[in-house]
Amino acid sequence: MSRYDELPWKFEPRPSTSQRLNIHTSPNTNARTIQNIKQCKHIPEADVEELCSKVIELLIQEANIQHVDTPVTICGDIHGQLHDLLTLFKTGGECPGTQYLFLGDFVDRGFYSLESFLLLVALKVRYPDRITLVRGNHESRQITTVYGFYDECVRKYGSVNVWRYCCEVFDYLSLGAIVGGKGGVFCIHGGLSPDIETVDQIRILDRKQEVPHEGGMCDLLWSDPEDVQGWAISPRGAGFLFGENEVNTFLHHNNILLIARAHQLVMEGYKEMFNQGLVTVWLAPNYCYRCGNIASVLTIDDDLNREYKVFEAATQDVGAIPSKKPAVEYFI
Amino acid sequence: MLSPLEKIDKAIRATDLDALACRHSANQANYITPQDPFIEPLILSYKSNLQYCSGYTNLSAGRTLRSVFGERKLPLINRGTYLRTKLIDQVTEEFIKQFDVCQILSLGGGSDTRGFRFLEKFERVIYHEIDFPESTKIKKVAILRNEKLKSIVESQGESVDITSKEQFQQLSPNLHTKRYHLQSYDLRKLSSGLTSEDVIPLLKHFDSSLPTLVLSECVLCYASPSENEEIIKFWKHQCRGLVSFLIYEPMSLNDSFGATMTKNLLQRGINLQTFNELPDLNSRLVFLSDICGLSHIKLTNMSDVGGYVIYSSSKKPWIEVSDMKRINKLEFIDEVEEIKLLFEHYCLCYAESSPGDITFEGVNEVRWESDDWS
Repeated sequence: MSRYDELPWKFEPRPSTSQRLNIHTSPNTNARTIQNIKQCKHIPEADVEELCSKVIELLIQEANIQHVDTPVTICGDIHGQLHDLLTLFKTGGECPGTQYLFLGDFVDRGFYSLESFLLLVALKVRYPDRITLVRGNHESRQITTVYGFYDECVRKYGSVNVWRYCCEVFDYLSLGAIVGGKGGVFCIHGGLSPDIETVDQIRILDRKQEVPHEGGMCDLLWSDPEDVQGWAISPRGAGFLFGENEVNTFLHHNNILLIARAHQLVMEGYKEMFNQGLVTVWLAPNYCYRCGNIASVLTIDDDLNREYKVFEAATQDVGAIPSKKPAVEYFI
Repeated sequence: MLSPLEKIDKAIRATDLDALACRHSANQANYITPQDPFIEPLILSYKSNLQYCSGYTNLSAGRTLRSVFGERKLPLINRGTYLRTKLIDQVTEEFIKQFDVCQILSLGGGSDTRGFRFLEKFERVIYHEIDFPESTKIKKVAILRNEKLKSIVESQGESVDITSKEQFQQLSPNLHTKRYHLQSYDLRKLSSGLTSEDVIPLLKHFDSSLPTLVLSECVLCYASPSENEEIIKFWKHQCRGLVSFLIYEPMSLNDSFGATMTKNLLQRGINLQTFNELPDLNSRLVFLSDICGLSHIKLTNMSDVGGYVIYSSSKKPWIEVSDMKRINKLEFIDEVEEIKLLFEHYCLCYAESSPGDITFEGVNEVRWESDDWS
């Protein structure tokens, strides 16, 4: 456990972490950058590099499993749908007023992966104690070269540098979080692993690397709950499918009330399974501008009560889809 | 300037480029084994001749080709392309194996390479392809400029080199050899009360005594349900023996995915006319049996074909387990839920008409979602 984990939650003084780490960010510069990102303005390469190195200095101090206090709003996959992320902040409350926990998959598929990721990074640098970022399976060099983030960076900057800076940040992201301490909510992008029985086992993993193809760290980012007995092979090609027994055992062993995870598209925005022992939350509405699904976030209050907020896609916004958009793909 | 109707037709013809780009991508990503060598000559023909097609200029053709072939296809598109190609191949092969001397009639096949593959593999099959004249011209040029294709279709034709719109316009859109018939025709005309003379080009090379398999891969969906009915009935009446139909196309399922798809495709100028009118397997069953008068109807959706629906069925899966394992290893899959969702919205329908007792037995070899109707 890092000392950051042991600190009692403090809202004031907010930039404490930054001060400890000797980061000199002018709040004005950062506020301006945040505004520019929100408006999809071009962020100079040097600024991206600076943001990334600042956030790495913060993330390097974080534990594999971050401790997060209540109340907090837990959000699933964004996948580059910046306009929907902005809708979330408008309806769910801006950061830092509302505390957020993002369960990964910030990039790929959508048209604004870079802006979505930079916005979260900039908020993290500005309000390190009010936003927690957890790694998803798409925060990986290999996956981003297939699913769009790499191409987007090269298209926007003409070189791979920006993609490289971001990928370096990916390696430092936490693997999960526990909301509300003992008896609280275990948050992860994908799911459980046959190699991992306790949260303490996750705490000692060496996370600062590209997501491996197998093993505990891979499974946490890739696995899915399913109505299966025990563990089954995942059709995704990585991670496992895990059943109700595995969830119950994990909850019991680790004194956890609920597993909150993302990773799977849910048409209704969220889906509770296994006697409410696990929930999938999904943030990207009308995923890939094609799926027609609604989105949701989960707020955990001080008594660990769950409140789901659902919302629809920001389609009215003409900027949500760029004019020179890649074709939405069907078989035609 | 194109009229609104011409614009719609241009958008429909452009879907062939999408299909070709998908096959190209699945081929490059090693889904298709052994690799399909006939995709490349078709791409070359498009690269030199798309500029001469109506509604295109040199510039716009170049732009279109760059955007269609320049973008990486997602793993789910590669997978879906492979599954659909593989299973239509599978059914076609079973048909040829059962009947030996028979004909395959591909409706609106565009730049599809199935004909070449089957003509090469089976010596007695006859292959017909019917499409818009511009589409058949693209294919004809591809064939005539490629020695391998020429020998497969057994054509003695001279290689052609098109250098102007006029020359392209003057090129005859048809190509007929002993076993291969490439015929230009707008199939939608079949619903407009044609005289027997109007259909001569369609029937001149058609042997109505042979068992016939009619393929429609994302083609009939661009015609209205009544045009669909007329097209199906037309071929049904031409065949004195068994005629089988194998239809692959999208359906809306009346859900939000379907509604989004309608909207997205309309933005491209594509109106899927059967999409909402025949929204699910059940409505397609009624259409094929009650309206078209066909029997032995079998239906499935592609999610089932891809093994994304868990079944207790003891029937053989569409795709062998070893092959599924092979393609699972080719690329990581991002969203299984998304694949299920997309594939559920595509159906494969089989139906037949036979005046005698002859029926296509081989179609029972694979597992259909609904196969208890006959």
